[in-house]
Amino acid sequence: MQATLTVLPRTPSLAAPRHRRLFEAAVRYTLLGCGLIAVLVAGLTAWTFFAGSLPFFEKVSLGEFLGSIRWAPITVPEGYGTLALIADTAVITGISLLVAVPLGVLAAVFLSEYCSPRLRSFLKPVLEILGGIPTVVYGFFALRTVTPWLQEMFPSIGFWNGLSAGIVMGFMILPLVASLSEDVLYAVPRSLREAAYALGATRGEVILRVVLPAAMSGIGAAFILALSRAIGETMIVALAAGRTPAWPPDPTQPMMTLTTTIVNIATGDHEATAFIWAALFAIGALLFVVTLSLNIASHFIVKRFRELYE
Amino acid sequence: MSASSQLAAPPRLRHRHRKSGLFAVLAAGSLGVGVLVVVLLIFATMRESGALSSMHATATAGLALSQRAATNGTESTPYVSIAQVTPTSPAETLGLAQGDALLAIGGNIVRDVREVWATVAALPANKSTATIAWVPNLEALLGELELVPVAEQAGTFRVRLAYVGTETVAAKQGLRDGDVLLSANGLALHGSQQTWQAMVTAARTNNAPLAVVLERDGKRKELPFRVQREGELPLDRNLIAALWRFVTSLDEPRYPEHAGLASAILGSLLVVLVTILFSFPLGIAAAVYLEEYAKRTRITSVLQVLIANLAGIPSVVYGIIGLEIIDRTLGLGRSILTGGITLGLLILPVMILGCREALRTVPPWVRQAAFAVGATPSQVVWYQVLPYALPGMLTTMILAVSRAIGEAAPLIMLGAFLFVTYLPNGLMDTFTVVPIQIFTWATRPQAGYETIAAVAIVVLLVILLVLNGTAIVLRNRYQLRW
Amino acid sequence: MSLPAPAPTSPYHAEEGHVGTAIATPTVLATRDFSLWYGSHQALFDITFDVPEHQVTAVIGPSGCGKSTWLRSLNRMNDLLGIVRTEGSISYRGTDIYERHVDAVEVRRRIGMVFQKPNPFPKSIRDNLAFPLRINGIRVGVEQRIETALRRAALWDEVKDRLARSALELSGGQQQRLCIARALVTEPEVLLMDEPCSALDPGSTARIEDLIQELRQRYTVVIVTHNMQQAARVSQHTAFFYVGRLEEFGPTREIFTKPTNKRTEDYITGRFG
Ligand SMILES: Nc1ncnc2c1ncn2[C@@H]1O[C@H](COP(=O)(O)OP(=O)(O)OP(=O)(O)O)[C@@H](O)[C@H]1O
Ligand SMILES: [Mg+2]
Repeated sequence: MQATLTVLPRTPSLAAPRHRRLFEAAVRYTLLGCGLIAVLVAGLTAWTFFAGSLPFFEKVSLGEFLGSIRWAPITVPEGYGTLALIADTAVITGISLLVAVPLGVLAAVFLSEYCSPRLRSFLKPVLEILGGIPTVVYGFFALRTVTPWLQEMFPSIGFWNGLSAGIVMGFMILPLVASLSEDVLYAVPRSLREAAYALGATRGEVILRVVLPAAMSGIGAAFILALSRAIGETMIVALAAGRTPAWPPDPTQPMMTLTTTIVNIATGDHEATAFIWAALFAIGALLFVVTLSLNIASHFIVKRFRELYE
Repeated sequence: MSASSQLAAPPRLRHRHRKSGLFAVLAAGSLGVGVLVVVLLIFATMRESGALSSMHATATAGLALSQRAATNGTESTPYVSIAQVTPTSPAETLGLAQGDALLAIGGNIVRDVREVWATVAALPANKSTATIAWVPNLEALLGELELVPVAEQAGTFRVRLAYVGTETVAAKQGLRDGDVLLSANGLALHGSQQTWQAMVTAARTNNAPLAVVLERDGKRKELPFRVQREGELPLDRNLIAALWRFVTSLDEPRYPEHAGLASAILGSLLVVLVTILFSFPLGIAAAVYLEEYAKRTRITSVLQVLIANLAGIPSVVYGIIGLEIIDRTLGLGRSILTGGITLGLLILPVMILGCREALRTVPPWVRQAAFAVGATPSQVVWYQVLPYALPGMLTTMILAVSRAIGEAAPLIMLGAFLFVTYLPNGLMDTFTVVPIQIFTWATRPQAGYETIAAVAIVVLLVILLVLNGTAIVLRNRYQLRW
Repeated sequence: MSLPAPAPTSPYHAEEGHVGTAIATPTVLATRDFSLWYGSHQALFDITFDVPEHQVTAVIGPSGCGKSTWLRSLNRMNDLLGIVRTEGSISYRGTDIYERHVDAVEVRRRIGMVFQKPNPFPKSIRDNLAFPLRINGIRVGVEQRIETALRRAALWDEVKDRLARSALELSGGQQQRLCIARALVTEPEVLLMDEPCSALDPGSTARIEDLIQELRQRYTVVIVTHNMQQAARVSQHTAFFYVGRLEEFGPTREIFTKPTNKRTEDYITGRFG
């Protein structure tokens, strides 16, 4: 037996009722507005750096900014050369990548090629949680634990030094490198591996001769992203590396990176109109441009890598 | 030849297999090193933070300690000075006062502040009091002094007791006004501060009274003078109480044992609240628009790349944006509001990316089915898509919040609130947050601040572990379910 | 492989009265010179024919000939792709549903759809049926409507004790009947079905075919199928599509016994397809 029901009331026309049309439009444009705010933020960021550093480059030439080693914004005569800062940044970044990249890629190899799925499902979250540790904590590790260890081994190392900051930064970036590389290794198709196995290669040979070369560009992208991350890292260097630019760069001694310089200027007691703020924008713009370009480069490398295998 | 021996690996292949195995060990070892080093560093920090209960014990007994050094011209010996005594505390009842020198705890001599806390920590677990020995401060020990020049040595002074009164230790042990002090346990006594410090140093070497040589009425005289006093001081070493007091007290820029995390915790909470209110609605709405409403065009794909890569800009750069746009241009000052919005900008790209990712896990047939029964776009999103994507979005939100909680660099840019010794009481107040408090404590020179920085780190890590763990569990369960 | 150029079509026009029995009932959906493009790819060419009321109209044709495309055009599901452009008209009870003022949502509320793969919402059985009611603003008699819809979809007896359980726990055939119930619960006038049985076992298929026969009493049904026997069993009218064109339309009995078009004949006798 079927229950009977009154037929639903229908508007005769197929047009949307006014209130619904208005409501849907309101929802749509509100969402659009929110999206535009996000875009606006991006635009504003770029504009802030552009407009903020213009006055700086009116007074200081790009050549001096990038080519001089004299960073002395508050002494007379002033010096606005960032070469020493860039060199210090490069050295610390280099140390951190020396730690993070080999360990991270090998860790990724272990996770994607050797590890049992159960162990993997345990280790990946562990890595993720380690990657979520705030950088100020890593800075504390560097200053209070690693530097004393290093000083025990090499007494000539200073209380503030680039080495300790670099090493600890390496361990901070390692989870990032490992997880990105693992994604890449995972994407290398089975068929490639099987072909190599069929030719009688051992597991190690398959990985070294087939999988890693096939994944090279993706690992390169992970490397670039790690590089960008290390360049922009602030708290570790602010805590452990000191605040004196070293020239020539010597990682056993205090070093000052671009990011520390920004922190230094911002925490210093300067007049709001002081020229040094323009220098802040110039260094910020440098960091912004460099890291954004690196990120975008990495993005497209990964994209090409994926297209290759999909 | 049997079939099995034909298939056994020839030596050359065995060698290759061994190399392959070595590589596996290397790979596993790398992961192990990567994880273990950080775990080790965390453990080192946890050990460092263990001194908190001892610090709590001396602080609740009523003491604030500071490191001093006694100098007698050539060498300097460190000693622990009592910098403050809390009124009506057990320490005051015992007769301790500001300026006293702490000599020993439970019979163990203490030379610096770290040693005090180590000694307290080493006391037997069942003991809730300890015998402490101290030397009263100069005035309580010797009363008023005056300097008399030494005739044969220009520029050198001896001290003469000018007024010992009746309550000083000196008066009670038979010293009188007019006595000139020459030496104690063979140490020559010059100048008032040095005299006291020499006595402290001498008293520390053994528990016996000092042999003091003095000149009274023109005659030399040797007198036993007991400068140290002893008493039982209650010491509360309860870790829970210590932690509670730590998270509920304000920062104290001189005495780490009295400093606490309260303003930083409240600051972090308020900042993160602003961050959430700012970035969650914006991020979710932008993601929903891009994923559910916008047509797939070149513009949206350019936006996609831009947003993805803004997520990787150094956080300190966002600090500059916060400083310039929000603080100066919008005029919100260096307030909690500014800090929260700055962090909001920082995690906005992360939010958008993550939410889009979550929306993409909603299978297209869910939307199709909903549209086919006559749902409007907003109804499809609200009733079908969002509930489906919720776990993924929640994961994103939790990870974003935990990132915001741990960020220090952009907020340092907003003015490095190095000494915030008040609770913020509004969104326009200046503030500090836990990571910045860690930063400032880690860079303070006095002993003990590194300990409370370590405690703050442990607190922060526990919070983040809970948050990230929840996010990961949530994501894994949800991956299983769909 | 290039297909032979389609023969000049002789589409069936209700007005012209080609086949007398077909126009005994009024038209619900009238397709007129309807063409459709996916981007630059034209998928439908000048389709013209009428869907009669309270009958089952079957749409057959080789894969990729545009059956689904036309069906989705009837309730404007193609709009969702964002890349579709149309010409000509489809009129529902005299209103062109592609006119500017017409709201696709209103159209879909009158013209329900069942998909090839069962697609219940990943929610409880009750929620699956409550959702269409709720978005239609119906708050009274919800339980009764749910029961009625489930009975009409011949599912009530199987699920009445577990309405709160997840719809994903049902078998494929039950899920498909749930999807039919979901399409029926708001009392649409037309029910579009795109190969509703292709993912089902023969038993479930038979049940749904029976169901379609019953539904005809209340609704107009349009069903796309690859199964010739099914079209013959369930439908009163059949349309044969070929590479985006309507090759032939007429009473099912006539199409299957004496097709006027050579290609139709080849197709239904299994010579290609
Ligand atoms: N979303 C789409 N985007 C672009 N082209 C499409 C899309 N859907 C269908 N087409 C194209 O339109 C034509 C008709 O497709 P349609 O799905 O309507 O065929 P069909 O008759 O339903 O086939 P089948 O029997 O296999 O379901 C095909 O050439 C197909 O490639
Ligand atoms: Mg189809």
